[in-house]
Amino acid sequence: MKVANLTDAERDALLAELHAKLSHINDLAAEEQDHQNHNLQALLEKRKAKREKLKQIIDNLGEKKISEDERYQNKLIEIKEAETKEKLAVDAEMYDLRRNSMKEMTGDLQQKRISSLGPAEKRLEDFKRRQGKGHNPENDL
Amino acid sequence: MLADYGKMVKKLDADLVKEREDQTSTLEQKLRDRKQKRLREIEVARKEKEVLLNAETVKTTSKLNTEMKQIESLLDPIKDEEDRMAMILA
Repeated sequence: MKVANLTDAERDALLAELHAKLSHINDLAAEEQDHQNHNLQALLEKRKAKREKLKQIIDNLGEKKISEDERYQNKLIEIKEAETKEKLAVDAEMYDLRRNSMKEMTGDLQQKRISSLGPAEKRLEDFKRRQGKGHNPENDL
Repeated sequence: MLADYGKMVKKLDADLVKEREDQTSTLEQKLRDRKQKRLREIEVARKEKEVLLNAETVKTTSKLNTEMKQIESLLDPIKDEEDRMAMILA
């Protein structure tokens, strides 16, 4: 570039043109910067929304886990209580069985006693009857 | 006659007492065995229920843990993003 051959007017015109171009470039750069900032901001907002959504899902899962733990503990207690109840029912069943069996056994033994003593009691009554009539039944023995 | 009758009653009562003792002993043994059997059955049923419950719970918890890990892995890239951005921009 032969700067020395330029007139003042030409130099000023060139400088003006240069400044205008630089200004235009700066405007474009600023515009691009704004555009990029806007896009970046939009992306950040989008990601923030996504993060909030994921956090909400994690919170829900955490609550589900706690609720599942509680359900498990309650179910365990329920199973143990049912077992205790069944064991108590067994005790009651054994009590009834013992009482009924003893009652039946006592009845059977009483019946056995009556039937075993029956003939001997009859002979004794006959003996008493004959004794009452002045006859000595001892002589019949 | 009376004396014979008395002896007979005494012997019969003694026999019946003995028989009652034997029958009671047999009955008690039978009740003990039956009770033990029923208690064993109840315990086995309880253990089976617990095993089933544990299996169900492990399955559900494992599913929840997997879902949790999946979500956490999705969250990892944007975890503490604002702080990291601030550090980069500083």
